[in-house]
Amino acid sequence: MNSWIQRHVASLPSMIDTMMRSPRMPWISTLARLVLGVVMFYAGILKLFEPDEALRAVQAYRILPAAIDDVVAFGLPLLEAVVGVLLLLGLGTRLAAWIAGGLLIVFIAGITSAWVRGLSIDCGCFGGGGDVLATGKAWRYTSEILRDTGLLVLAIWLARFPTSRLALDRMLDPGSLPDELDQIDTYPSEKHKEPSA
Amino acid sequence: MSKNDSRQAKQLAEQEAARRRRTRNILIGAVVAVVVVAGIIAWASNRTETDATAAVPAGIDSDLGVPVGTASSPVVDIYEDFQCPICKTLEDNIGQTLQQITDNGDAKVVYHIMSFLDNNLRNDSSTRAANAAGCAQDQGVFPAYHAEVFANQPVNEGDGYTDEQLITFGETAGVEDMDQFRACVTDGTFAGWVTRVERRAEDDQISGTPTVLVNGTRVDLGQASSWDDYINQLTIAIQQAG
Repeated sequence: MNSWIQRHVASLPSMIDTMMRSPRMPWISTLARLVLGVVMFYAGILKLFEPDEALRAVQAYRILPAAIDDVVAFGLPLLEAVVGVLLLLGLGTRLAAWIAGGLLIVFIAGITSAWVRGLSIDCGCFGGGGDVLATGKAWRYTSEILRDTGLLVLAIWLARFPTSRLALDRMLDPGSLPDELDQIDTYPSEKHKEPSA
Repeated sequence: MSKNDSRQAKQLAEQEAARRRRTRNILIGAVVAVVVVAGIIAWASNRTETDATAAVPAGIDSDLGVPVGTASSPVVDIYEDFQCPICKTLEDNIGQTLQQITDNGDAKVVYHIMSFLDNNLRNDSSTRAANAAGCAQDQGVFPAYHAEVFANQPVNEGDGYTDEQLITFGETAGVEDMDQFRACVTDGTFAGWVTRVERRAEDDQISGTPTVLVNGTRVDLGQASSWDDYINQLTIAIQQAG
């Protein structure tokens, strides 16, 4: 039994190595990109089409002073929409993933802060928002944080492995991913780079 | 391959890479610009317009709220939406206390009738009911009308109020000129005022209803253990403010 575990633990690095070299890797990134992109774009668009609600949602967190809450109520959804579109197109994926990750950390911090301060609010993540009944508060906050954490994992994945299939990035830079997938021997492609002269 | 050829090939490859980077950056810039412009249009066209010249009911405060009672201080601000179930519960439980407070001249109670639930509930009942309350205020029967609306709030949140209901409430509340009241309700005479009240409340960082302030300080429902406790807290807050 012990040796069985040992054998498998010992083979873990090579298993990860095999996974990294797998031709499926870019497809995993494609999936991550599309999921994160759809969620970001949807969340941003909903709020841009309901500015009054978005403002109330921002105010409900009781973090920002009155002077800048409307700037944030407009700016955050806009940033979400922009990042969402870039991710969906696979354009500037790494940068978009970094920004998405940053946004998600801010969102998680905001929700946690509301929870810790004993507020009972709707996060306003997908429109809506504001003060709500305390009923089911713990589960609401928990599920919101879990969801954002899951999305954060996708963002981190994409920041690490931005190269993906069905992406404009790839069309503009075909060299980053050989067309003959069978011929891939090393991935990510950075390892192919020639040492500079 | 000679050393020269290799250098040339490398140069070409670098130029090609730089060209692609440029194309990509331009494309990113273009996509960002398109989304930003579309976002600004979506935002601006959906932001509720306010009209500072809109008609307002007689006797409202400079902050657009409806004052009740003869006292001038301390001020109890109450933010409510006629479609908000907890607002009804609040009225059911502390309505009498509030009436005593205004009757005794212990404080001025200012009602700010908000209408944001229309957005959440996908109807226009909050705005129409708030407008009707403005019509009632215009005829000097706001307190009775306000009580009547909450007393008849639909059991199912979102069912809203019909114009006929809103007119009947006026009759019960003791409106004298019913013809004028009916026209005021159906024409939405004070709809512009309702929007301004809502915007004003947003500017004052009111993010939900009911919200109760005593001289600007929130008396939070969430901190009370019971309605008796809440009434107690409210009374103490008023005494301290006075």
